[in-house]
Amino acid sequence: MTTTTTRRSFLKLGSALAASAFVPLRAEVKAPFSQPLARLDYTKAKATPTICFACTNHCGVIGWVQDGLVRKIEGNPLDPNTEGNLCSKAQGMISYTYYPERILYPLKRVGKRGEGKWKRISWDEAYDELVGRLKPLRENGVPEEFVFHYGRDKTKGVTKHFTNAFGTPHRLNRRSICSSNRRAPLMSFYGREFEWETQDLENTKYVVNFGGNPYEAYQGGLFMTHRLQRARVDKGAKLVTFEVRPSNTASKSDEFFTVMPGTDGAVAGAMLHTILKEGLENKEFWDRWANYSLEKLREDVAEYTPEWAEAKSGVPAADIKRIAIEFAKAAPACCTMSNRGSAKHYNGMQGDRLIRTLDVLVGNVGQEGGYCLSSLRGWSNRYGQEGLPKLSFPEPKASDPKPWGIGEGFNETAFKKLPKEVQDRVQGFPDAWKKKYYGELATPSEYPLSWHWYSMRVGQLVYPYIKEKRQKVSVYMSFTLGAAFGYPESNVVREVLLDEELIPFHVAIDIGYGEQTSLADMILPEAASLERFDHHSTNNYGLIPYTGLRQPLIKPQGESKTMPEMFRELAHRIGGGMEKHFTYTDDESLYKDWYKNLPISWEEFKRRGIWQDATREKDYRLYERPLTDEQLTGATIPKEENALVKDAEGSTIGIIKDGKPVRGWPTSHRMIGVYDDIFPTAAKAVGLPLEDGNASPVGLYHDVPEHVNLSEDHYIFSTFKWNVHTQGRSGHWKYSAEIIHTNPVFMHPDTGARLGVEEGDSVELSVFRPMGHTYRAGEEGVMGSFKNHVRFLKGMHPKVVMCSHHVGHWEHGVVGNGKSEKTAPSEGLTETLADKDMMKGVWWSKKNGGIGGGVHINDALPINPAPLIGGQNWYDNVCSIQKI
Amino acid sequence: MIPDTSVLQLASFLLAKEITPEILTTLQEPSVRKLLVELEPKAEAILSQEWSEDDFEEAAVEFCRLFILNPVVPARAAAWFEEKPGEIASRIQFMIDQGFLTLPAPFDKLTPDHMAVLLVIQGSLGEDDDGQFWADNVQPWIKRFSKALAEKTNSPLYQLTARILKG
Repeated sequence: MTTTTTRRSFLKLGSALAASAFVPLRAEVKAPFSQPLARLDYTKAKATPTICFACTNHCGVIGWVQDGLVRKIEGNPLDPNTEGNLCSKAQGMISYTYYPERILYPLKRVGKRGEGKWKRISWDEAYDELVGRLKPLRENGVPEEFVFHYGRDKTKGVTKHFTNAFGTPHRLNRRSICSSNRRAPLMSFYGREFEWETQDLENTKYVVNFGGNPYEAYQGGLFMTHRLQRARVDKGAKLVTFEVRPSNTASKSDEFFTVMPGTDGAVAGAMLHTILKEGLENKEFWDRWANYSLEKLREDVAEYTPEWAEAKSGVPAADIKRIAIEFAKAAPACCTMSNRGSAKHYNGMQGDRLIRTLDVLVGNVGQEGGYCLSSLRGWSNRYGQEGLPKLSFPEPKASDPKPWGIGEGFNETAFKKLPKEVQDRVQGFPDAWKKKYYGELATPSEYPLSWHWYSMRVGQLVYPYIKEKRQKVSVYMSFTLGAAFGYPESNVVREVLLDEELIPFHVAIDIGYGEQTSLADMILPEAASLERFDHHSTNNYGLIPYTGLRQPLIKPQGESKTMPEMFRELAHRIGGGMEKHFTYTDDESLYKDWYKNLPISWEEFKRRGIWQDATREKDYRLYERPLTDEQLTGATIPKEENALVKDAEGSTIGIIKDGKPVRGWPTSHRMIGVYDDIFPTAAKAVGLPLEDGNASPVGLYHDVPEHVNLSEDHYIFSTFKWNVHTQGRSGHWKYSAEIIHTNPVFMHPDTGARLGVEEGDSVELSVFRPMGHTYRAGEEGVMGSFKNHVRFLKGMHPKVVMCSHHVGHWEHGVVGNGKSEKTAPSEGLTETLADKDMMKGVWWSKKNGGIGGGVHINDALPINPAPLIGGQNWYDNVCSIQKI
Repeated sequence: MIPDTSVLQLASFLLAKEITPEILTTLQEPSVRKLLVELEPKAEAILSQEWSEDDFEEAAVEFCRLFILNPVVPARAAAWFEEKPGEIASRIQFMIDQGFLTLPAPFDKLTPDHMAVLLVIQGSLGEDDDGQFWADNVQPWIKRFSKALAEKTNSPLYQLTARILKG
């Protein structure tokens, strides 16, 4: 067809269409199109404070919007945690919001699950199908067959409100994947309210860090780092780090010691030994607040000599001794720090209890410059939160479902469907646990400490348990969850999600099309964090509680919706009383009501983004504060020292110290629980031998079973986080992936020499199952393997090899999977940048001659829950390495 | 050359949403069908037959693959420019925010730099259009877009769409 013919055909086509029944739609254009400024113009752009969602920190930020597009994110100086500081991940929110592959419409699977065939559907169709599946579960008295499973839920109660109103206890999380091993010791010591510490880093003189990495990736890391830097630069504070690799934190420490994985507790034990031997303990504080005798502690740690610890950990005994003395002499302006590095091991829970004991022994707890505690739950108006008005979810409360068990007040029907072995175990539990038991997905009976304090769950066992049919699932709703990529043995996750008998219907709520959503039957597009409201609160490293507001900078893209909007609509369509719990008319009215008790107006709160009573006294020595007259009204006030003070209802509210009623700690005994018989109690309840270190009522060191007698040709395979990424959630963020898009196997050059490999060589890592009392322990043979290339890194422990686990996606679009087309999803970048690479496509793709998008490693990591608590022991894996 | 207004409107419909019975009826009107088949002979079969529900679903799945979910041919300008990828979106959003432009459904739910949005705007400019909108917003990428669409789909419907866009 010639050009002239084509032109004629198009003209005829236009005429034919005009003469047809075709009714064209027209845009209303009132003014000519002008060219807005490409550069961000601060005189025209609108600044709105909100809360970052790029990682777990949730920093106060300010978003600049010009011409309807978010152009820039910067720190909000009113945020008392960040004090205006910001990390690179926050900028990733722009690409997270605008990337061309974001899910913008409800989608329904066509063809087989996982086949990748989808069609767009309307919200009405989506709601109709979902309600058609959910409503009968309620009506038939099996609401527990609806399983809601989230990866990151910062709705602060909206989702729980929905699951409670529905009647299911299955609001599952990923706490065990993250931090349950390290939260348990804290709650054991200080009570449920204190599951995360808040060191007074800007006033400290000495920090001993057991594998924490706040300079790079740590819950609260950004809040901590700038305070710690000020203390170090301005006041000469010292940072000592024990780590298996030269992390950013280790590298920037005053002293860094390479430590054998899983032996942090041994070092802490030797420090306790040294402090006691040198007489540097704070006896007054210990005797006043610890629930354990100092002499018994002395006996417990007698064998933990520095020389013994050196043999375990590789840290020189002389250094352990010196550091212990320096630490104790700096008290009370000293503190410990630990996180996954110390805790995500078979022995991590007890190791962290030894670390926590260090702070009690030197009496730095709650002191200036010390190991302070500011409740995470600042919004709940509970213990220690008098700095905030009562800010509670404003909708009519839905009560918790009935616990599962036998007898009045229990859900017997659900209980009797459980395997006999499980029923027998639960029947033998103490009454207090029976009242918290909700089946094996929510409250796995083999891991009672995962739900003793609160429901931390054991997320990595959800899929094996479904596979074992411990719980029937009719509707599975995943929400911002990346288990099919990021959980250990993620191949099992995918196997279960693909099985339509085990999971008859999977609806995924997310922003991106990742490995999890690709295995759904329906996908609902969620509004991004820059498009919605959320209630924000966290502990403040400035030690004065505050609250913040996530608020929309732009309207939701496409047809995406917020969770409150989705759940309100679902509740009303399901009906049967659910609608009574969702009375708000729109999101803003919900949040406005939520914050109605703030002493500033809603508009002013939106303008600031943060509220805090900065004139309030800092949260030092909360435990010494006298009970108020209001608290003491109707209370029983005994006279004996250390007797408990109870309120009119008989609840313990304080303790007598120096003849006066003070708060003490929110533990049952109002003291610090250095000794806690919950550990042997739990061990007995589940049949864990009391010889296993996890059963000890006091912190102690015990070896990681599979690390004992580690053979010459076996290594410990560990993972770590980069500073620009957030688990597996950020591999498709262009800004972040530009910086880190691959995950080589890091090893010490000496390790490479021993293996006969050079930098850049490819190796195959074969990982074995763990030993001890855990899931599929001791099974012979390789459980998983992967191939990757090698990078040398001096400072690594020579028996350790490590990969990051963020990358290696096969979904999540061209950035996530490192493939390249012409597409350059870097929308939002309209500035003139010095780095022209930022404007290009996936320049690191193999098609472009780059290194590609990394290697997925999580199929090769065994499910390995720590006994009793269930936290995943990410860093215990034993592997062999073969050069390819 | 800027295509005829009605052609632009048709193309914008085909890119904005899955094919509907109403649009199919238009495409199958004898006078329209004859011309479309002249442009893209592969379209003859789909324009001559009655469509079953499965046919519509198959077209919806292909639409989703091409333009919606991990789109192999993203219909957004941002995906086609290495330099200043957000410029066209910014320009259109500015017009919307200022109240100078109102988009009808379903175009109001698309991103502002979506090809369907640009085509419906172009088709609405009327006789006073001086060609600047086309030159600034559509011309720089419509050839690449239509070529990629033709290469990435085996569907006669979207081969036809690519052909219409190619002009």
